[in-house]
Amino acid sequence: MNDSTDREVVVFTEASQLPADERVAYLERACGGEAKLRQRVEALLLTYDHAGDFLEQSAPGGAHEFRQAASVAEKPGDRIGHCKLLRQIGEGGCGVVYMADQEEPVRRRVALKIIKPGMDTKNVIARFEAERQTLALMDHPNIARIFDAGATESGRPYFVMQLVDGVKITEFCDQNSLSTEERLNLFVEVCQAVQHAHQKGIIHRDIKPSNILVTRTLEGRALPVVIDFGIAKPATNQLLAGKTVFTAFEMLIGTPAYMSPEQAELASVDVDTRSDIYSLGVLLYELLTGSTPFNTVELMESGLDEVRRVIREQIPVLPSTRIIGLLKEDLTSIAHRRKAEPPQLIRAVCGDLDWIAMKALEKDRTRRYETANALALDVQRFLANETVTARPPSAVYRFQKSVSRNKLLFGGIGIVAILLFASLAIVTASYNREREARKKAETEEARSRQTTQFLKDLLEGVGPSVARGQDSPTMLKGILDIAAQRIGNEMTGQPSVEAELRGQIGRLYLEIGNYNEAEKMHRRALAIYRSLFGQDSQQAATELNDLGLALWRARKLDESAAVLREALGIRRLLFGNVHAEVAATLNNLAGVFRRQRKLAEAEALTRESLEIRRKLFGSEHLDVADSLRNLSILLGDEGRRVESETIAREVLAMRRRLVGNEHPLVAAALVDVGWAAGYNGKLDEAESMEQEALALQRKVLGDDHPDVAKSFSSLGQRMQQQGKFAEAHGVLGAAVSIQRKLLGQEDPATLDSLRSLGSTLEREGKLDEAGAAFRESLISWRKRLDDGDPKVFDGFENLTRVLLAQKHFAEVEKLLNEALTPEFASQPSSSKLLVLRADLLGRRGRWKEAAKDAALLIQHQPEEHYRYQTLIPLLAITGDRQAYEQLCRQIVAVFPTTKNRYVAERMARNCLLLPRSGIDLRWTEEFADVALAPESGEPANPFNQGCKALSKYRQGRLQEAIDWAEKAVNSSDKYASAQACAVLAMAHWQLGHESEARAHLAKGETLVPDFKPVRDDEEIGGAWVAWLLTRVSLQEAAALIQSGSKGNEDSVKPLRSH
Amino acid sequence: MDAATQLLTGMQQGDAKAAETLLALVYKELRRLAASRMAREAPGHTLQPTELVHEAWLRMVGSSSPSFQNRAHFFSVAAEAMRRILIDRARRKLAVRHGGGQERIDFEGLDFTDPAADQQLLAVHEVLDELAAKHPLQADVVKLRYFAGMTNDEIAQVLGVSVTTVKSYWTFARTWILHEIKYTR
Repeated sequence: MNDSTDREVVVFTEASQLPADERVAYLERACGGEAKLRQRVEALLLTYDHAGDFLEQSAPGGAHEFRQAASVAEKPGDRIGHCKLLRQIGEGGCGVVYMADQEEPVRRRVALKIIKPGMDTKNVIARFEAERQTLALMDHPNIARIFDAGATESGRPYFVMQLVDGVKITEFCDQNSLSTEERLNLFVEVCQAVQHAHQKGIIHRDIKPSNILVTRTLEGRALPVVIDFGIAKPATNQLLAGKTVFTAFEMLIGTPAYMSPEQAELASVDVDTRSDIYSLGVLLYELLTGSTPFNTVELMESGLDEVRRVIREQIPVLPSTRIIGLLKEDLTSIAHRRKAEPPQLIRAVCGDLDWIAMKALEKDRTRRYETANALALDVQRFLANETVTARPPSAVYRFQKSVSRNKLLFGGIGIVAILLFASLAIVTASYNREREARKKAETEEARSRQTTQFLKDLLEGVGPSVARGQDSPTMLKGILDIAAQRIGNEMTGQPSVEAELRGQIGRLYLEIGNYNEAEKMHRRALAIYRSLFGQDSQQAATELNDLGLALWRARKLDESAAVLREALGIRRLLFGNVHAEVAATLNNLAGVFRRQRKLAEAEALTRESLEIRRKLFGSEHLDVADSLRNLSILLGDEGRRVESETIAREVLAMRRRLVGNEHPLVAAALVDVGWAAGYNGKLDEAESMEQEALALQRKVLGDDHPDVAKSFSSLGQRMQQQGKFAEAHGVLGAAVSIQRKLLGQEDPATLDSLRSLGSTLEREGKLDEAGAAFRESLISWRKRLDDGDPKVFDGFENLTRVLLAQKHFAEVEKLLNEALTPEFASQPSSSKLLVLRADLLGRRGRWKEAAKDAALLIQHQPEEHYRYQTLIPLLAITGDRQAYEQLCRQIVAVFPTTKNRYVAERMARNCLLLPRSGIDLRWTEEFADVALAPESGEPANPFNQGCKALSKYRQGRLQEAIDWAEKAVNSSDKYASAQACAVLAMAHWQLGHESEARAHLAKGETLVPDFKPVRDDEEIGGAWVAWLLTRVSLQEAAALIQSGSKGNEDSVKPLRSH
Repeated sequence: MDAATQLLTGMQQGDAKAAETLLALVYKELRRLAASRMAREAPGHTLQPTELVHEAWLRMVGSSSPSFQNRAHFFSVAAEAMRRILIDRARRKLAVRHGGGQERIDFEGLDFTDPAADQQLLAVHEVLDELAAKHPLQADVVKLRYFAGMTNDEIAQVLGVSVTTVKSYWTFARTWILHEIKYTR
């Protein structure tokens, strides 16, 4: 039995009995800096919380005794009908397939399928017969043809069919390195074959690569052939309906990866042609990415129910996401097998092919392609660069397609300009609802015409280079950049038009995530309005409000709050308190307050805004939903989780009622509900919500959008939380790369994702890469914030942890010393970094230096009880008796009483560690009793028992000390055991039991031997405080026994120090 | 003194071979008991492993050597034997379902909840030895509880620890196993 694993049991057991919110603090204390132990226990706790009734039922003991069937199998060389068997080439549940030579009526090589001996029950024969009939119904070049049928002498039926001398479609594609386009062409043929079967009323029900063989025609063309209609059933024939369950079941045992959600139901016999569409979707997914949507082999480890649940409930990651998430080597090899480089492959799959596969893979079959043909057509449309149906048509998307289709025609042609204009107008319209009302006013009309004319001119000037092949935000940004530039040059004489255009362009920049550009536009517009209409115009308020938003998004929070307050003041002045624009600004300001962690203020403003909107719009309105959403988030921040989740669900339902299912607002609401559900411990539900939101956002917004990146990021964090590190790795990688592109290397959102990526890598054990990610994130944060900021500390902590795990102590020290200048170290804000350095020094056995940092920490954080626990043994081991006694007096002053068991145990032990600390032994005894807390019903902890023993020993009640120490001495925790050994050794010695005393001391020394780290990579370990406490007691015992005196209070010699 | 009691005494004296021999003996006895019981019971009856183990104890040792130590050793051995029996059966059943072998399935009698349970059984079996290497006591609790179907009280008696300890070992062990099956395999 080894010690580290048993600490795992002890720490886990303690922690699992604590309420969730106390666990973190407990783990911090119990594990110290032992990152491995802590990670291990955290992972177990996560599993524990979701273990349900796993294993609670004992192993199945039900016995089915299987009858042996007589073996009368055919063998090569035997003849059946006109065929001579050559060799067995396949075997299914109840049939065997042989390669055979047919001699009549034509000589040819064929496949012969026959029911296995002993399997010829009525049911099997009926199924077999159905397969034969099924094949006979079909006549298609991509479906294996049937030639003949019959029965053996013993009555077992067989049939003869076309021998398909080919390989699995997936293998064929890889072996021949087919490009994505070539793969899609093969896939289209497969769809057509399946379509043919469906037209004949036949559902295949087991479409998978091993049932689609690719062979070469005489001309050398690749020809995919669908085989094995063994569990196919006529769509209308209900004869076999009762067996559907069984076949679905066989599939689940065999190859569940291709099984549709409705097949996974098992209980349902209602499987129709759309089940095959799903399986085709899986095949398409695999052809594109090299893997099926779900790793069923892996899932199988958690049982068939888990496989079924995932197939029915979990939305797979988009094919492009799967590819992005691959390890570098895998990605390169998968791309090369498709004659592409990784970026090309990602680009090819991302977008249309994603949507096509996802549409085929919809859980709800009514949302899949209606027919195999429709699926084939969409793939063909993709190949021809036409608009696919899988994505709802948006103006920008259609435009993108028409541009790339008509590259030659493009250039100054009116129709293109109109399309461009339309795309811009659509985006503009949705963010300018309130403006439409104003446009009705006559004075505005002239201006509007002018604006329109300008935009038209402008857009006609946008060259093909901007639009060609670029995705929509990039394209829009190109248009906006040019518009902004031309406004500066051409609008000089018309300030109000210029201001309005700048405002609009600013809002568009904000929408596509270019916050700095947005800020510039709004500042300029604001200046113009103020010079035209004075300080407090309605227009100035609008620009201030929008400027506030841009600043908020750019995380310039103080500036943002100031600007929004100004906007609020003007709007209240102009419109009174109950007005939509007042409510909007209130909401924005609340958002900024939230970011500044002023939660109470934020909640008050949010509730005010909500009430205004309800008065104005009634209870069912998008703006009301917005206010509710903010409230939900705030309540979550304040820890009011259940309320938060309830409101989030209300928002989702309301938005769905108001805008339908496919809308970014719905995606945002899904993210919120997922977050709230996750907060309440429903992790699986949270993840599926987040997956759904992400798919929706990518569909509606495209990939290059900050919201999409943010969703990637939160999904990755969720996956990490669930321990799915490989998936999290891919998803977070995608988030970081999008954010780097859109927001820049050093944007806070990029850095947050990078940090999550780092901890995923760390959990995967890729410490070098994790260190690199943490280092990059730390460097960027330090440029932005000072060293006392939580973000910076977080960066230090992460990097330090990884470096410690790799035993790069010198680097950690250098890193921390650089930040902890004497001046900074003297300020309380340096505490967290000081903790890291004290820990490092402690691990390395550098007691005096560690004591210096620990003493500073007590100055900074006198209330933090753990700090005393660190300093006390350091003072004891360095022999600083005076400081030790002084610290004991401070402990009694700071913690006169306590109910907390941990605090009680620590403080009692601190003051008992050295003899005659000067503290009243009644006080320590009282604390030792609080620590034992027999009334709490929790199992007695060996540390608490040991502490009690020490307390008795210091009081000279030797027999009681022995009794208590005996309880702890066999603990599986070596420190608890060795501490008890020390007390036993001393008490027995005082009682004159010399040999017992020596034996206990020896045992203690064996458990926790003395050690001095010398080499650069040596350390005492994260549990160095426990180690040190133990060593101090063992040294006291050793000194006592060495001195040879008995019952002498003054027996303790000064302690040796390192 | 009968063979089983002799072997148990040998085990207590540290005779490793005695443990192995006893395991084989108990394995055989349990299978024999199971077969004779199956012959008597109506079809579809589920054997309770704990009944079998207790019956084996009574038949092989019970009355002749009721010492506490012997009882604990015997039950640990019996739990291990039961584990092997159940694993063999689960493997056979799954192999049959995959279409391998010459055995045939009676379609009408097939119980659909079985395979998942069998898969789980095999998965637990796969990681149990690893658990035993790291946390032997916790693994013993799993064998006694999951494979031999014993209650916490019985296990506490057999292992000579408190019921609370059995519970905490069980919680740890099943969490550990689930984690192992789900994430690291």
